[in-house]
Amino acid sequence: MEAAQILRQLARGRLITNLTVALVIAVLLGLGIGSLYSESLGYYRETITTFMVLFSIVLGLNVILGYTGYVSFGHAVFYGIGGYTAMILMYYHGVSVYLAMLAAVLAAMGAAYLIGLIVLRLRGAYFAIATIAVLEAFRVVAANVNYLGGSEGLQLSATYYRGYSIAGYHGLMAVHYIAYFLLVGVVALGLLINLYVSRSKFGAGLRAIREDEDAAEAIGVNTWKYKTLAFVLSSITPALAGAIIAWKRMIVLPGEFFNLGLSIEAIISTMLGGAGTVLGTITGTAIYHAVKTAFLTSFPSLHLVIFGATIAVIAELLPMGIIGWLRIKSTKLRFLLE
Amino acid sequence: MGVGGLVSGSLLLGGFVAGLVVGSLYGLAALGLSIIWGILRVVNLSHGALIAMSMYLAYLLTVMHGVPLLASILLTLFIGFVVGVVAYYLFVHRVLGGPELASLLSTFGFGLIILGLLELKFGGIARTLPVESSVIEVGHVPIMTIQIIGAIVAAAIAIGAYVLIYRTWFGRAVRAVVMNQEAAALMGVNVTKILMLTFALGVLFATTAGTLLALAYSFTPETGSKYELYSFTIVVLGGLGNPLGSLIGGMILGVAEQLTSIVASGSWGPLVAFLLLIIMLVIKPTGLFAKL
Repeated sequence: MEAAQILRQLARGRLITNLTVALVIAVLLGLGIGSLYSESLGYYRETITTFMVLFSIVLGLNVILGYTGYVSFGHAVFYGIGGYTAMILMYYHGVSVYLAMLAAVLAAMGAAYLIGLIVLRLRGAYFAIATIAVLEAFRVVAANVNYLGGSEGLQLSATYYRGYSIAGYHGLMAVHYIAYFLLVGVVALGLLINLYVSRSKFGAGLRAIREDEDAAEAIGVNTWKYKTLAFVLSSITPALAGAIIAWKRMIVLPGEFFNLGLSIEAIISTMLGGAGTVLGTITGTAIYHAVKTAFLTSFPSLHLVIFGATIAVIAELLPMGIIGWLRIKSTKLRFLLE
Repeated sequence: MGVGGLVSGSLLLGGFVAGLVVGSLYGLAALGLSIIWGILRVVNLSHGALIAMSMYLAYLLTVMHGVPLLASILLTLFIGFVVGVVAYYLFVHRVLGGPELASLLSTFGFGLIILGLLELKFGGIARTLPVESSVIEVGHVPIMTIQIIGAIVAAAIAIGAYVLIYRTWFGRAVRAVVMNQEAAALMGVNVTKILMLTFALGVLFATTAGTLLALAYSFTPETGSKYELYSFTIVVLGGLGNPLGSLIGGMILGVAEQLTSIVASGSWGPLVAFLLLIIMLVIKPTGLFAKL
């Protein structure tokens, strides 16, 4: 690449973002491979797994909340749909996790399209509340229908895991490693989706909807098609993460998979970094996860209180998020930080 | 009772009456959410936590400090109003007029603080208030007399709120602020004070509903979130900022919930609320009785 070309890309922020994204994926992969050969990395593997689950939901949420400006308050519904679809196939039909993931993502995309037909007519707080209601409705159904396991959930037996192996680990021993690498793949996919949205004409249309939906319609953006597509895209990574975690934990439970708290954690992470930016999703989720883990261990009894105060402070002092704030502060950074 | 079995008419009548009774309390809870939403344009996500807070305040005073029930209820309401004033300045004032997400998150953060403190002090065990009440049966459905008293109080407060908003100087100032804050300020209305009082009033209604509900039902810190979701449904049913709409919306939801629990089972009750909410949002998001 010529120097001028590199400079031009650098100026448009693309190279920095590309390098950061590549670095994130490389670090995640490296840690996973390391943990295969060193027992002492097991703790990091597990905490990074939790981080990647949240990150998968954030990456989906950023498309609809960040770029399109629709506050999906119950976004974990797609995590739940993914988890339950995968579990039904694994539990009743003994399907492999890979096929179950494929089915989960298709089910979630279909559900997103159908739910979108209803909720995307609404704007602002009404949309937010409708998404909460959808999530809660799914939870109540999952807790009451016997086929879905009711409030006890569906649980896989250990024999199901016999066929899985990786680098000398077999059966249940292999699950945590495989789940980790599958999640790295989901995160990579999510980052690619966000990069695409950030740089495409499609993404420009979504941003137009965010700024002023009626004006966007007036200048020829097919707003209905665009926001429906955004909603469907936003369901992909949460559904995949749900399927993987259902498999890893061996069980699906209504309260854990259709979890309003998880939705809100995703919103906070997105906000903290800066909604509608690629670098913001990484920054926000990483900081949120680190802070939460620290609070949970150092102030186990007070963590909710500290946590609530932190959220309120962010919302009142830093509503644009860290990356959003930096972008406003300096025009140079605005071009560098995507 | 039960699926497939015949449900007798008198059982349905009993469920209907029980629904009206509990529904008027839901309506009062929703009124707290509704006036804050309609007038400040803030969806108060600490609503459920504030309801739970009032239940535990009443519990703390009555059970742990031996204050007489009526006195502890009145004291709880006073504290609720004060908490509303303080919360307005700490969590609401700065985010007014900003992006939607900011007010959703700052009120949610406030709610988490309350929930955290409740968990810390009381843990997750279900509690009840020491209330002795006779029971009357309407079509085989038992209803406590204290519930009926609570329902009457709730309905009276909702009507009082209607009068306050549509028949008094304060109410006129509130409506002026909703229509145009700058013009209201130029006419001599202290906008911040009106917004602060409205928020505190909303919290007061939520805490009143909370203490009345606590008289008849057991509660945990999580209980508030159920009433918060019910309140959303009722606000959307009844229309923003209309106290009578909230009352009627609450009764509709109460009846729907009670009848569902008679025909199917109690655990399906919430689903009815969420389906009602989604259907209403799609068909008529301004509610059945929108005003202001």
